[in-house]
Amino acid sequence: MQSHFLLCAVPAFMWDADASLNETETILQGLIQDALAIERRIPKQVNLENERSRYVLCCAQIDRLTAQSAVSISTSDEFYEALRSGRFPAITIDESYLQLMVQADLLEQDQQIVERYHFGRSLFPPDQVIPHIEEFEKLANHLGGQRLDSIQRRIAFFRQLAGSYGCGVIELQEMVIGSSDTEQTIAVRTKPSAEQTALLTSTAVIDEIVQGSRRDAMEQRLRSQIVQAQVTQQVVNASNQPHDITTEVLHKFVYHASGVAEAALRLVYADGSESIPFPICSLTAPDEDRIAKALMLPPLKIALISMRHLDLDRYVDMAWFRNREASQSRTLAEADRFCYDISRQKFEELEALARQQDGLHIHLYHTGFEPAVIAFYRALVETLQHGRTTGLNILVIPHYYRGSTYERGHHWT
Amino acid sequence: MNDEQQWLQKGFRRLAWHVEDSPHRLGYDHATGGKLPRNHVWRPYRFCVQDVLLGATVVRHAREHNCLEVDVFLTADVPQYEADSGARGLALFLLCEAFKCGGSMELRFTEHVEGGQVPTALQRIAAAYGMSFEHHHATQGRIDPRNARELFARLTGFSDDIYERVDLLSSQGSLSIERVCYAIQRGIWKLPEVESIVLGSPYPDLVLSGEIQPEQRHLYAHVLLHAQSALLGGLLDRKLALREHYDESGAAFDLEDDERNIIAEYEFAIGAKWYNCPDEMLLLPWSVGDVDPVEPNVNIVVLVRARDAIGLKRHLASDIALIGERALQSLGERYCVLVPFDFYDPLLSNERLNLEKQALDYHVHILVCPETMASLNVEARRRFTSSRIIRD
Repeated sequence: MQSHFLLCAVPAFMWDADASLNETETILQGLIQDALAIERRIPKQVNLENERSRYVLCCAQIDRLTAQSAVSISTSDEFYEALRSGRFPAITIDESYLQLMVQADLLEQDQQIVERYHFGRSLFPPDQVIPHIEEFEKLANHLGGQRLDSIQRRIAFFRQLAGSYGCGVIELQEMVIGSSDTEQTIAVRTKPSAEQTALLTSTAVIDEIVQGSRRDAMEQRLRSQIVQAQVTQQVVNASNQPHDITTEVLHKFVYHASGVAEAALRLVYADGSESIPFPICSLTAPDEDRIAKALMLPPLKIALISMRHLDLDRYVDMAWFRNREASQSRTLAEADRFCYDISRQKFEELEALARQQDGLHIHLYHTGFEPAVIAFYRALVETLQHGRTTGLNILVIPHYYRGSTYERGHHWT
Repeated sequence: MNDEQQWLQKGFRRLAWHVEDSPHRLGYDHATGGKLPRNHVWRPYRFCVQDVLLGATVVRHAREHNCLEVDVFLTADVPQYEADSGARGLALFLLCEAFKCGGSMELRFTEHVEGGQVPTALQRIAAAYGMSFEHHHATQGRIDPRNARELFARLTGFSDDIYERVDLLSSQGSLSIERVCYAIQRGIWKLPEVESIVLGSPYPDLVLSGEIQPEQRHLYAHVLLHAQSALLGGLLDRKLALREHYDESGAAFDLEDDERNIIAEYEFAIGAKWYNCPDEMLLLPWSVGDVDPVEPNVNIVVLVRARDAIGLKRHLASDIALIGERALQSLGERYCVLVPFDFYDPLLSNERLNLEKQALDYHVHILVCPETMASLNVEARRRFTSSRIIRD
């Protein structure tokens, strides 16, 4: 059994809430408006289950009504004729479109981009048709699917037909017996590496994050403070900037070129308490082979602290710290010390797993609270130092909260 | 007193110590309630069927080794039950617990279990599946994660086809064997449903993980279609297997475990299920029009088509033609198309008679399940949600 897609061009007036239409058209118009409104509301995460249930019902009705008016076309003349007769001109494409969506691993992508360009969605309003297909073409090129017949036909349908005539597009999926059904095919999920499949590379993500002038200034300030502190042994305030900037800047200072001596960076927090120093220039540059090897392992997804971002719960395998324990009333340095001890202990426990599967690939979802972040990475650096001599291969990819999504930082390995 | 009896006595003493005397004995009681113990605390369990005790065990998640540690493993061979039933039940419990606790799936037996060896009953069960634990592991009382996964799959009842496919997906890192087994043991999916998902879908991991949300419309529609298809097939499985009984007033009732011996296989190429009942005649349920009973040992081939009204309108004729070509060359097999109750949707009022006639011409029976696509949709969503929070 295969999934086929029916791509139906739906005239612009059907997407316009104010257009006056006949009874059937009004029903479809209302459903489309409802579905698009729900798509906009879902990222707000309010009353989510209810919204999703309504969305499923809405889409089922839209599919039904659209399919009833769809008519297959193969030329632009037929396309125009179908529109003139009040039908929805449509073409069918095969499962390669779905394969591309699976390969793109939309769950792992930057959700802002996925939402902005309606990737994986079935409703494309007229003003979204061209922007979507341009991004889609880039994605297809990136994943090597641009030469597939179905992908080319989809791009042509969006750009040359629906886009030219100012139509929106509704895509329906149906199960059919495909030509290749005589043999069982196993869809191999190619996941070469997070960077290769990401819409944005991790470096690009971070560059984008810090491009804002305020963030840029904070990053520059922290960098210069650390450079200065290496000479003067002064303290650096870890509470002066968001934890993601601290993490990324520390990352730059942790790896050293040969001949540079390891140093200890003194850190204080907003309450004036001073934590255990953070080791910098303490790791040799990571070996690319080891990174590639670790990236091939399934990631262990970890939320930094429990009960802080509840929507993370269904994506992560565990929380590193318990909120109840990490957020107790104490100085921030004490909290750092507590989290550091816990982290050392946990890394020791994870060593067995790392040795068993010849590496460990962790996605760490940041949930705020600077002492916990610093403590985690301090313990990680020490574990990695130890690992350099014992052959332990651990790779941690930070994920930073960005509203409705998480963006990746640099690899710590 | 032989070795087996000695270990039995020692095991009972150890169990009694855990329950009554140990410093970590539980404050929880089924009758009075209390706080449930954490995974890393020794926890005693008994495995009963009504008032018959088939086994008892004491386990904990050993955080230092990331495995499940077993301190007591006592099983009883009750004459009315199949040999090693207790050991099978306990083995399944241990494997489920190992998954639930989030460890590596390794099982370790302490010195209190047959002197620190893998219990003989477990080794006997493994041998029955052609498996053997490595000698040095068995004598050290360890079942390594690889063996544990295979044993879990075998005890769950995976056929070789399913096992190979899940193993392949597992090696790609997209689906874990133990997760699928646990989903079946926990009752989220039935084995035949998993079979049709694993063999019928190009992305079974997406269906079984339940992580795709409706806003990912295309992926969601895909997993929903496959889930609905599996559920529809599962309903027919149960309907065929269940023997219906009637009381004096003519009201139907079920008897527990009173099921027919139905052999079912899945033909992935066309999304069809093959049924055979070697022992008795079968009535084809939900058929449109009158149908003769199916003789014992006659194959029934059912094309499972979970389509809504619009899908039936577009594709049912070609589905009937597809299975009909085979039906015309039948050597005695019976051919059917199974559809949901959407077949009676007003949208199909013009086509229904023609479809029924086409089926008759091809000697194909249309079976209309009393569930609609909307109700299959609700059930699929429930299963997706359960799959996401599988360890709760």
